[in-house]
Amino acid sequence: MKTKDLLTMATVALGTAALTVVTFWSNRIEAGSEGEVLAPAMTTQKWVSHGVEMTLAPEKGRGLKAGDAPVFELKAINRTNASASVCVRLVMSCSSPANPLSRTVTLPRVLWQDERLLTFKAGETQVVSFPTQTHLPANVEVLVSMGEGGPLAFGAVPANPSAGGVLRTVVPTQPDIVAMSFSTAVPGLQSFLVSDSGFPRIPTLSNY
Amino acid sequence: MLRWQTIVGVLIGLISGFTILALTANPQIRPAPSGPILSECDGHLRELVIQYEPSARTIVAAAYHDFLDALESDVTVHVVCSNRAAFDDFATIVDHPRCKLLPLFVNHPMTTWSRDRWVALAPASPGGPTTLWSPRGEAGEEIWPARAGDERIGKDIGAALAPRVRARRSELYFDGGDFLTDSENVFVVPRVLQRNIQHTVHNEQEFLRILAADLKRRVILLEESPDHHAGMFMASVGNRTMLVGDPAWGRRSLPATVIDSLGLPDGPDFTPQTQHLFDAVASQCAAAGYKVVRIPVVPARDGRTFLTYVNVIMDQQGDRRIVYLPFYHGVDSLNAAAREVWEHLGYQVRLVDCSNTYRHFGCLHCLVNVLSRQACTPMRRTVTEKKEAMREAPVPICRCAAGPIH
Repeated sequence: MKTKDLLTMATVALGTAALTVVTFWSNRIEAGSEGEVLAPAMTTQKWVSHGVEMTLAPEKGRGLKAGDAPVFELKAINRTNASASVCVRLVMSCSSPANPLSRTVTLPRVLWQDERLLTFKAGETQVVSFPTQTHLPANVEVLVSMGEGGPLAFGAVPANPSAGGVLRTVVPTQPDIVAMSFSTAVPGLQSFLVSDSGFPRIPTLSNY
Repeated sequence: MLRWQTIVGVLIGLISGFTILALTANPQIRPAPSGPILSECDGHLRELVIQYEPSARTIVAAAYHDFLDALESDVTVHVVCSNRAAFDDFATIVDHPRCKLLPLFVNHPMTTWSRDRWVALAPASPGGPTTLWSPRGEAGEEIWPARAGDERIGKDIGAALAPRVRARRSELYFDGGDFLTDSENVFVVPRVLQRNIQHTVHNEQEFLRILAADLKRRVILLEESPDHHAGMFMASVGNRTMLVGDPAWGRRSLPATVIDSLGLPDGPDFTPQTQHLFDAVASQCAAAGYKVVRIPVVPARDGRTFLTYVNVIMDQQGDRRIVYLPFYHGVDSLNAAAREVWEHLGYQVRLVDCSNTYRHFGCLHCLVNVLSRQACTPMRRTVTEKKEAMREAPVPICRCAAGPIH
């Protein structure tokens, strides 16, 4: 065996070993115990109904804060090779701690909701704007949920609207999702109030 | 064409690479195996965890006093406090209880609600560690500094009680109170799915698979329920029997003037819609094979404040089943009706004053978390003795044995 052979083997071995370690290092970190890195949460929330894939984002990717009236952009892609109709419902709600001592946040209050019937050609992509015309209160957590609205919510949809009245059973879609969540926390703002009766006084929109 | 030197080099490289991975593997980063989630109704209470925050004194003082005073001497209660001063303040609440109180200082803000911070998973094998399974994150932490501190409690306890207790963070978002567990099933409220779907899991199947794998019990996802923690409207009491709140009974038990005098936020909620949600829970439990027993409840229209009698702590001491049951001032007839339900189920009732607690969206079960229970095994009795015992206590008769529950 010549020195050149040994050098070749050593170089290949070193490279292979390095590649093996790099490849398998991250895979062995399983989600679970404290101190380890959890798998990242999904960054894009996708709702799929009848083969139409929908995502939601603030218009032009703007950050949202207290006082803003959000405009949402729904991007919908019909992944099927047939036309499709989907009734989508968006609901924006907010909640906040009733007071610093309470067990949980208040029941979410609906700030705005809208429902649209969207029709797609095969493979078509649409971007639909949803202006809320609702100003966001301060110091709340805001959730925007996306789900099935209209007659679809009851489990039936016209297979071919032009044929008129023919119904087919809806293929089960995923349940409503929280498409977006963000907070309008204002540093230093004390929003906790306790009433004379001892009950937490729940901030209402008029308090903001 | 590959030369033999290259092939040998690749083989040596693979062997070296995997050897390095094996030698550097840290057992700490691999989740240790854990057993099933602890039942909330079976077994003898051994170790409990409560959190105490001095600013919440008025909320918890009476409840902690009554509860700790009624506990047995073989129960250890870990009292999680921010610091020594907080524990000193806590010590003025209690009145020489028989149970053992151990402070645990965490040096950061927190709330006083222990239940939602983690769920206890029994050791996978005798002598193994109990696992505290904490959620991925806390709801509202961005606008709620104490809640951000709560997120660290599981890890704090794990560090303080290692090696017999270890902390583990879940991939999922949840509150401990979102689960209702007995020795067979885990009931899960619907909102947990919504918190996770398309955030930590792709779909419902993946969500259920993770829960079943981690909790090691059959998972029953409720399709409909009041939008609150499970322990506010239902309690599994053993022997496949489920207690479910009934607003209609709550309304029947109290004169309207008394209900009005409570000053519930936005008034009581006896609407058909709310009644339907409670009834839906009862139907789903029945469909899962449970005998359903109803108990009065008075929910408020804020959807959060409940005068509830299922938010309890249950204990099993040999032949006896004991319930630490909340009561509320000013609603004696309601308290009596609820007590009768529990006694009819064969439970010995120990009352805990939660008059100031329920106003903050939780009650006794929400304040107290259970770290370990002692297993109970069925007693050997003659047929006559069994019949006699069942007449007194419809739930199974058990005797506690040494060792944790598996």
